[in-house]
Formats: sequence, structure tokens, C-alpha cells
Amino acid sequence: MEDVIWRQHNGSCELRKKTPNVNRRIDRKLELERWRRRYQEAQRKRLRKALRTAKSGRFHAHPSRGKGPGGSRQPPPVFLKVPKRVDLADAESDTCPLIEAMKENVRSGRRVLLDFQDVETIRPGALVYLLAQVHKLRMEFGHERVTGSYPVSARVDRLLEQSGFYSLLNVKSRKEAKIPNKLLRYIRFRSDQKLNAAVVGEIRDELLRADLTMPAVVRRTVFRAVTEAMANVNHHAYLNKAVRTPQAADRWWMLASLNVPKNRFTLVFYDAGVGIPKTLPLRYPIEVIRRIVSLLPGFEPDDGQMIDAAMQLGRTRTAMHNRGKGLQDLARLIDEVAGGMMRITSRHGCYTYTHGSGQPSKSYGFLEGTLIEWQLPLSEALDELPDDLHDKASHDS
Amino acid sequence: MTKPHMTLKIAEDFSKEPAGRYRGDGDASGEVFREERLIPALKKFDRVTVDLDGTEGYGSSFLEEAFGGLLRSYGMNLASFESRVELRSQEDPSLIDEILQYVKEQDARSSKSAKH
Repeated sequence: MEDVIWRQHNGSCELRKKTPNVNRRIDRKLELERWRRRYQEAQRKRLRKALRTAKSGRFHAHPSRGKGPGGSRQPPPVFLKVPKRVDLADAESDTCPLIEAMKENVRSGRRVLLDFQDVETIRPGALVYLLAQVHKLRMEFGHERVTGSYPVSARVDRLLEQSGFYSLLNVKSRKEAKIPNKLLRYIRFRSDQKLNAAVVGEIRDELLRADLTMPAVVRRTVFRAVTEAMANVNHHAYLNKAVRTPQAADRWWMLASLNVPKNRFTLVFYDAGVGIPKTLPLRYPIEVIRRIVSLLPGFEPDDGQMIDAAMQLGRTRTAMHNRGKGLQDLARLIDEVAGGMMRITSRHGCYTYTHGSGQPSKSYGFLEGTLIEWQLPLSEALDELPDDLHDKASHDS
Repeated sequence: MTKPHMTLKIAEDFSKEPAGRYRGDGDASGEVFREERLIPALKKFDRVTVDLDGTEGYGSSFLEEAFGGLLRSYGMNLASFESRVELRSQEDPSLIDEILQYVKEQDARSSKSAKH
């Protein structure tokens, strides 16, 4: 009995023998146990701190304190810190890797807590991508899989509320976030699985409210661009793509905003399909695509060049197909409105179009599907601004 | 015996929001307009005027399928299209040129495939 001792460790007893090898094994086990407890405590502290700093807490009750379907405790969620600047066109912002990490964790059966507390700005394109991916994951894996903490910035809070991000997550918005702002307007995001032309008029009315109007030519071109983008989703975007739930099939998301101080009207359209660089080679031989983007035989076009080729093939009047002109309708909005810009991002490629000329490039990270963003100067996209808004626009810009 | 003339106003007789190419795109698509409005009108009347005004706008896939598709599915050619279909738009006259372009392109494709 002398060679056996009992050792107390955090309320549990361990049998310890006075044999060196056994002792080493027990020590290692105890050490691991201590690290595991320290890690769990650190996770709890981090969550408590995040909640204190974010003033009014996370979106949902902490999942690790709830019990799973079998009555067992669920592991704590994986914390993902949302970058300060959420922007797809910013090399410094890690928006695409963040979204990829969120998808990977959810698909591996883990829960994710998006930590918004340090976020200072969110660009509309990045917001639509994030929002759509959260929406899709919640449809596919259940609503409890993605949650998050409220941002500290009141502006970001208002943006998440007005764009419908909070309502998508079924979370309560804070009172201050609901106050409408005349200078920075967001519509609630729209999403559907079919071509829904009525949405165009709805978002226009919601954005312009009673005090702003849009010239007929801009109205018609916006209608053309958006309905063609919806038709493209129906015809090409989800070609043979496996989706986990019927609700995710052929789905698109849309958001529009109006920023008076920055003199900017923004419209974003996104689908989570296979992406233009994957669908184009199914419709045109690779030799035709190479010729269009002036590549020598043997060279593979990158994703940006694929989008460029898709745009150019739609423009070619001698194209062998009666279809494929829809992408040209997207650019027409920029041709009609002076000073506008369109950016198409798909997979690893990007294509930026300003009046009459397009430029392919590589995107900062991988984007699932296709995201189209139109930016128009307010002074061109709208009729005369009312005096109060006009003063603000000229003063701030 | 067919009657001489009729006017088809898309905004009133079809939809204020015409969009999409195929029937699968919705009830206001180019295919639905062609099959349920334009072709029945062409069967009854010698000449049909299509009034494009009053809608929210038009996408290229609607216009191509509705008018270019007439050559594919109704057996018309450029000459018969020009003699039997009149296009009218005061709000956006560029639509007429756009439609005629689609019809000419389809006519060229049809002639090419007929030769082969």
C-alpha cells in the first residue's frame, strides 16, 4: 500500500503509483487536462469580454450553455473576428477568407459566432456576400449554426438592421438602429428563387421614398440590368450545382443603397452558383475564349479573363448564339449614366467596367458564385436632390 | 380571311413588367408574349403594331425571344417581319433598332443553317 498514493486534482482523484514511467504518463495526462480547462476558461472569458464591450450582447443565447438534442452539452462556438473594414475590393480586408472559414466550420458540424465588435465599415458588396452566405448556411444547416455579436459602431449597427441582416438572423434590433437616416439609405435585402421583376419597382420606391425621383432612362436601364441578372441566374448560374436544400437552388440576393454624402447610388446582385468562369467554357469552345482575350494557344485564361470574355462575347453581333447578350445589359447601365462603375466578381476573378471599357483582374480571395455591383453618382442617377440633401451632399463630398 | 390591322400594347395587353426569355422565367417572358399574344394576333390580322411604351423597361432576352423567336418558331423571315410587324416607341426609340438587330441576326442564322 506504500507504493500507492491518492492525489487530489480539481475535485477528482487520480491513482498514482510510485513507478517512474507510470508517473510520467499520469503527469502528462494531468497536464493535458489542465490545458483543456485553461482553454475552456479562456474561451468563456473571451466571450464575456466580447459581450461586455458590445454593450448589449450577442445575437443568441450562448449555445454552449444550452443542451444538445441528446441532453449533452454542446461544444462552444468557433469565434471568427469580422475585420474592421469589410470590403471585397480591399487587399487589407480578409472578408473572403472569413466567409470561407465560416462555411468550412459550419459544414464540419461546428457552430460559428461572428464577432462584429471591431467592425468600422461594411461596403454593400461585401455585406451582400456575407448576408447571402449566412442565409444559405442557415437554410442548409439550421438557424442555430451561425450567430454573432452586435457591433460597437452605431453606423454599422444601423446598416445591419436596415439591410435586414438582423431580421435574417431572427434577432432583435436595438432601438437606435431603427432610426431612419435620410442621408444613408439601405433597402431590406431581397432574395428569391425566380425572376421577380416586381422587386425592381419595390426597391426603387423603398430607396427613393417620397422625396427623390429617378429619370425614366435610368429607371428603364436599372430594370433591364436587374431582370437580366435574374434571368442569368435562372439559365446558367446553378448549372448542375448540388445544393443541400431546395430553398437554396436558383437563389439570388439583392441590396441597394443611397449615400448622399458620398454622392453614390449602389446596387448589388449576387448568386451563389458555379460562377461565370465555370459556366462560360460550357457554352463556348476554349479556342474562342482564348481568341477573345488575346491568349496564345496552350495558355489557360484566368477567372478575370473569363469574365472579360463573357462580356465581350455578349457584345459580338456575330456571336453564333441568339443567347448570351444578357451580360451586355448589365454594362448598359454604366453606358447610360455618366461616371458610373460596375464590378463583377466571380471565383478568383474580377472585372471592372467604366464607360465603354472593361478591365479584368484577380480578386482578393475566393468568391463563391457571382457578385455584380453597380455604382452610380447620385447626381446622375437621380433627378434634382431636394435642398436639404443637396446642401449635405455638396458640403460633405 | 384575315383582318387588316391591330395594335398590341404590351403594357396594357400583356404586362407592365415584361422580363425573361422562356416560359420558365415567368408569365411575363418573351416566349409567353410571342406564343400567347403576338402569334395569335398575326394569325388574325395582316399587320400588327406593337406599342412598346408604358412598361418598366425591357431586357434583351425578352426582346430577342419575343421578336427574334418569331423567325425561329413562326417561320417568318426578315422581309415578312418588316411587312407584317410595326414597332412603335416614343419613350425609347432605340428599342426599335435593337429589335430589328435581333431579327436581322436571326434571319442571318436561319439563312446560314438553311444553306447547310
